[in-house]
Amino acid sequence: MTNQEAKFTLGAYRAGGQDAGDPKFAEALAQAKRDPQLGAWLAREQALDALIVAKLREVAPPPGLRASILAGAKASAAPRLWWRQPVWLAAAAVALLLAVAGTFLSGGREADRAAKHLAELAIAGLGDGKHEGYSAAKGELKAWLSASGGKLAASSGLNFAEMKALGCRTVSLGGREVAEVCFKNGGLSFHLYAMPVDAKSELNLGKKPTLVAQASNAAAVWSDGRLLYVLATGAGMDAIKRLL
Amino acid sequence: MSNEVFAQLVDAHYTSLYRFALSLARNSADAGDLVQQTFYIWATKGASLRETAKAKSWLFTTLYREFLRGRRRGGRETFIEDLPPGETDIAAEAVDQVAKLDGATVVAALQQVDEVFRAPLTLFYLEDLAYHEIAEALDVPIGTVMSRLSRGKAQLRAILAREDAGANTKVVSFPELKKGKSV
Repeated sequence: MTNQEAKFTLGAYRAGGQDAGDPKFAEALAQAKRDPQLGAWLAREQALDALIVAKLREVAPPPGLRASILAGAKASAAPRLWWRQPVWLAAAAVALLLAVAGTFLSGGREADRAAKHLAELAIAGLGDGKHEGYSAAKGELKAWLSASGGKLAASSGLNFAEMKALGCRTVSLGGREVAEVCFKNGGLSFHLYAMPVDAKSELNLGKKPTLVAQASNAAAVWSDGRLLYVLATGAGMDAIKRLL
Repeated sequence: MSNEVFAQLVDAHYTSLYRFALSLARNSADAGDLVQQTFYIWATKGASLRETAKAKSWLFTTLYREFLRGRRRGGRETFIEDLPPGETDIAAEAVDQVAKLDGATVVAALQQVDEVFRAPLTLFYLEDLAYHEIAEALDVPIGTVMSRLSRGKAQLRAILAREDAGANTKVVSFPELKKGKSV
């Protein structure tokens, strides 16, 4: 490295010492230690840079800017829709599950309509900030996803205890537990909800999935006799269908 | 993002963002608007950024993009090819000259640096971002950042030297001449 090259590199070295651990500067700094001429240049460069940094710090924002930023953001923030909030999501889900329970016996059409509502709720939940911590599918879920070519609805289903262990959260709905697993598959993000149901339960909707699409969001609802499932994604209906 | 967390983010970065905006926009009102617009965008879009450690870079990047977006409506961009090569040697008296100047004069000098150098140079002197983060924020290669820092520093020093020379020159006002004082 010539001194000219060293000067070029050290020109980006901050005077406050923040870059001391950056290996990019190590060779040039070592050369400045060995070469008195380069060392003197670096000392002047750093002194001048430090002065300009200090002068720049004398400039204060106008009074009121901070308050204006905070007030502006507050005034502009879109209110969260009530039905997107987790508490209301849970309450609405309970109501719909009870509605399913109450109406299933009166006919398949009502059950189908309730299943669609559940799918819509899951889609609404895609905007819920609680959906954090996606992980690659593992354990039984991984096996489940790869089994039968990923035909989830046709498979024998999952173990609820493992769902809870894998899940990003478990919600209590009217005394029933709903496990939610947030996972990635083929680079796409999915949310899978599961709730235990008895084989003879009115919530046993059957293995034929009810599908709902809203713009790029999609969801499917079905049950395997032991668990009621809701699968939702923002990646479109094709992504859902590839897993069913 | 809660109001409290948002306020913490504002407190941590709005001063540096304002200084950066002031060097770009060249006046306080436009600089304030740029900072406010940047935080507004954060409040509506950036808050979903998962890695909060990247918030600082995101804010500087967004402010710069907003500045460019506003400026594209008029004016000519200065391309690096148009400009003379940078000087890397520092006059021995340069440090003393700058020490005598106040912050406002230094900012005014910074505002005279060609825009293509001004953005990386200001970010460098704010010391919030490393060279590679500046490259990311401005969407240019690292080598280009280093080259622009070198050239920008040379321009700034030349402007500061002029300011200093101007401050040391006594300007005789017209009324004094009329009173018959010899010059």
